[in-house]
Amino acid sequence: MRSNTKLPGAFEGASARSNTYHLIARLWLLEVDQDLLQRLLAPPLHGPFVQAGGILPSDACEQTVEQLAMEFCRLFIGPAGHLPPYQSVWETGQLQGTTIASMQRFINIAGYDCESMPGRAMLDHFGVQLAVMGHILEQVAHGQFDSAAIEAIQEFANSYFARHLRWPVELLIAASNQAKTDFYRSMIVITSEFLECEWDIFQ
Amino acid sequence: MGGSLKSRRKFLKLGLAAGSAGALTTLGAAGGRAEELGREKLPPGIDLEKWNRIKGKPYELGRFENMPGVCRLPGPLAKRNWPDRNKYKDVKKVPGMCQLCSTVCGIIGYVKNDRVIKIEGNPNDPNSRGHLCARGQAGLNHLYHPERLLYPLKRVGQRGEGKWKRITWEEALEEIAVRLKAVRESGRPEEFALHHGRQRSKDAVKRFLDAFGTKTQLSHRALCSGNRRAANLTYLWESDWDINDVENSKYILNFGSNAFEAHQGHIPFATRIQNGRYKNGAKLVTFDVRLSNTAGGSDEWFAPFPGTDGAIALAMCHAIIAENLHDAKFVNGWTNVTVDELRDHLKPYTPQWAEKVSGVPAADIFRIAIEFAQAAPACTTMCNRGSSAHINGFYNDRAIQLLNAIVGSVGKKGGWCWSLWGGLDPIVKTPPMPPGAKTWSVLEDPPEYPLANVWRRMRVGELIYLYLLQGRAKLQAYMTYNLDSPLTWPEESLTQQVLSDEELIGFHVCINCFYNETAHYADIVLPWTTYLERWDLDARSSYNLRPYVGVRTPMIKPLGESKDVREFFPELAKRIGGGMEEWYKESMEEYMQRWASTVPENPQTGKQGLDRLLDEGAWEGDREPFYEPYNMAISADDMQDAEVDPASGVIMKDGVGIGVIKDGKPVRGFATPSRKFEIRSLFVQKIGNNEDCSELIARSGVTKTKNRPANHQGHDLQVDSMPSWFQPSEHENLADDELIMTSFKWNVHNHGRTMNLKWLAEIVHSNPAWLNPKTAAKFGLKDGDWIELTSYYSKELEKQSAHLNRDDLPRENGRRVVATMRVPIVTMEGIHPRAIAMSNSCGHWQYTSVAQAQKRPMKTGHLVGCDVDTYRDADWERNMWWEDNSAGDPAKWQPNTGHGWNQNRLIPIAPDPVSGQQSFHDTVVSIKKVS
Repeated sequence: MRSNTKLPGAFEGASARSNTYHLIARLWLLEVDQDLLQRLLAPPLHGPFVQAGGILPSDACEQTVEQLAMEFCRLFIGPAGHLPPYQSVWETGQLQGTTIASMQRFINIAGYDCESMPGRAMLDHFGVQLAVMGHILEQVAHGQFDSAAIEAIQEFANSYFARHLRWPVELLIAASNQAKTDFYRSMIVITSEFLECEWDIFQ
Repeated sequence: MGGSLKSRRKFLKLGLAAGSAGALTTLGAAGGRAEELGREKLPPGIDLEKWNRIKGKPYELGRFENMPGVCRLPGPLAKRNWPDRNKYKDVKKVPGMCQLCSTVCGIIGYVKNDRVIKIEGNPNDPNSRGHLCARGQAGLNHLYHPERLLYPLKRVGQRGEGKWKRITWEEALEEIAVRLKAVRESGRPEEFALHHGRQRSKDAVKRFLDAFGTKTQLSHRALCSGNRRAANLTYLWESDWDINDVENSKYILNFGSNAFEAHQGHIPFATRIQNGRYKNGAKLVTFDVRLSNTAGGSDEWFAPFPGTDGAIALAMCHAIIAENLHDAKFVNGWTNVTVDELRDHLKPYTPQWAEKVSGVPAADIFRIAIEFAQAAPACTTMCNRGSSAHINGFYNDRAIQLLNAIVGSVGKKGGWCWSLWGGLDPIVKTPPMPPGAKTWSVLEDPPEYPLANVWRRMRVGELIYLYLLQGRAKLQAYMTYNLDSPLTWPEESLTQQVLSDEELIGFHVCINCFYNETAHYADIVLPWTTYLERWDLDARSSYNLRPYVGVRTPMIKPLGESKDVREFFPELAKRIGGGMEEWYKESMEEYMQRWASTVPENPQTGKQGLDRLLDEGAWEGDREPFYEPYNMAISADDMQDAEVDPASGVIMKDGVGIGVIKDGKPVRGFATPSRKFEIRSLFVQKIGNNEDCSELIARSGVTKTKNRPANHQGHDLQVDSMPSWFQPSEHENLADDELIMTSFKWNVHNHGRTMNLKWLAEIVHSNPAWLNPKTAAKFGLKDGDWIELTSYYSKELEKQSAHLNRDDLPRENGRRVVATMRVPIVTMEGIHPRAIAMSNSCGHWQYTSVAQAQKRPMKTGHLVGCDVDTYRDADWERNMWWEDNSAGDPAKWQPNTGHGWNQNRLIPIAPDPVSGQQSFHDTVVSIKKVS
């Protein structure tokens, strides 16, 4: 075992990318609350978020938060005409499809703790899937691996990305079409562009 | 595909910013991050050994359907590789009970990797015996429906506006508790009502309402089986549910029941009918205005004029007695009238008279009556909503049941039977319940309907929104549970009007698996677990004529944040407090264990109680079938200190009737005041006039029967003590453009909850009106033409039930109009020429995309490159061939597309004046061609 001082391209900037995955995962899993909105509106997050394409409301007052919560609900929670952000739904038309077992296996291998996931989110929720990828990168960033292990992790990450992060294309298209607030429209653009970058990496 | 360097940099910056200053630790849980868990709890890292062991082709894109240990759900794509030999390898079989209709068939769920991959019938269930209908098979669609409610929602905009936000269970329960506590402390606990559709957690609902202190539990019984129950009770008192022993019958006379498709006993009943026919040689004759699948599967089918079943039955009674084919021993010995009295009473009801009102040839009525009597005692009638759901439905069903008494098939093997056990075997005792609430509400116990609540709580559910509108009651809080009243209740517009009015309903909590037309008018929506994710002990009246117990158990963990009432009612009770919490001391598991603890041990497995039920799914005791209970001897011990009335022979003990002297011996008799099968019911006559019935009740021994309380002194209705029949006045002289509307259910749907299931919706999704070709020709109509239907209130009820009248509605030629609706027609011989039929279940406007035949709107194009075919949902994207693109324009409508029309838009509130049963099949409509 040796330190992974020189990581391959797939893991370049792993720590920062992990954080980006986690931030986007958070935005997909839950409505923005006042605290998150205030942080997005202030340094150090504000600039990079806007540069990444994010469009923020002018304030984080209760009314704004409620408007965004309604929008989030309308887009992803329901109760009607929404876009369930679950891989199973987009692949099989049902909740809890085969992807759940697949996700469970990847999660087990990745050593990710799903217990703290908010809202009893199902494992094939897009937000969970992003968070797991963030976790994989985090493991690389903070772990000590030899080159063989790094190669295996890359293979693992490639497989995971291929299996669980390439599907949301239509979800993103539909969400982009249906989003009415600048914030969520921009969140979808950020997600799409970020995944596009990552797609190149995890060939 | 190709993220630019610039893009990558901006996301690296974003990540660095997010990670700096501990920002991510306070961003809120995204789950499992090291910072949140604390470094010392960092998960052990990536298990590369495991990865190297199991990685491989199955994980490659496009190959995942072959992933080891992953089963594919059945569906169109699965057919390509059918049968999949590995599909059921390593499955766990979990018992349960279906709840996609009211029959509660025993089921087995095949669970693999925490997913239910198939549902089939449980052979251990003594009632359904392993059979399961299409609805039951489609439980997978129900469980895994992509539009299931997964989180509590709170209304944000106006009620009915459709704007929501997700809230936590904590927030939801707190708000509900505050509102309910306020109702409780207002001194008017009856202003909290729980209104349910199909519900099988009766103990949980009763416990909550009794602990709260309200008796305002509203049901749909009067929209379903009220008259059949009332008619049975007049004869039997101890049971409102006839069980036709069709498997052992030689002759089955069906009045309007569609048992092959939609009966409370559906599959258990239908399979026994077919066994009776094909194993026992029984003949099945059906009278129904419409050629249902049951009628089509009968040996003979007759289409009588709507609502004339009772006339035909009385004429048959007349014919049987005229031909001396009656069972004189039974009539004279076991009923409270003599053959001579009956002959006199039936004199006017000749087959010729019945032909005039029903259109069925007198010769056929006579012939079938004779055939029926000759098969006695192994012969039985059967009926249900077809004969019951009429203004004269109480009399229809009284007349139909009379046939069984006249031929002496009452309680006989192969005859017309009943049992004492409408639910669970009494061996299982519900853990101690709170004392019953003592409140009264006009919504739950309307005084205008003498038989609505005297025997069973049949209520008059169709009235509640009208009474709220009239200001006769108010609801501070309204909890709906598995209910879709805007679709399934008559007068859709009235229901919507009241549900959206915050003055009339102060607070509305909806508990449901899906967003539907009821949830649309709620203030808080709670995501309910499906019947495959929760606990119950359950059973129905068994066709084996003995009780049993089945178990409903979670086959998998509830999806999302859905919860059952068993899980959140205790929490709500604790928050409301004031003693409510005292009735929720046990965990759900402890409660279920205790409830089932008396189920005896299976000597073969050594398992008993809940363990046995979880092993076998159901348990049936070894009681003798409930044949001829009236001949059961009373023991000498029971006769001790008993007194015998010398005139009637009725045996009384401690002031309560226990039997009757028959041929010099004490026997149980019938649980009626006369201890006989009460063809003449003094009770209904007296109760109609609000006379005291305490003596009759005491003699019957049925202590649950109620004298009419003081607050019922509002009606004075002449209820005929003898089986008789009348024709609603509006049916007597129909105008040329008038028809009588009837409704029906399909074999793949229940009333309001299955149109969202794609396997079922693919089979039936729309409901053009059925019209006889002769009728169509008269109006110049052909298949696919559109008609405009206008429906009217009942003239009969305008006379008899003034409390229903509303002056705010338009009149047309002196008639009050309910609604107008445009629908296409199909012509077919299988409908009476003066009837028009539309199925229910259709016409949803808030209930999932499938139920509304709408694919999700989506533009083509891609943000990032992808093989689109890989990710398309075959069912939604390709197979919903019935999608409606007409946008409501009849000119653009394509046959066999769309989601149909809600027939209840046209149906007025029309309770039978005797029992309150909604008259779904009497509505007079006029039709005209849409040019």
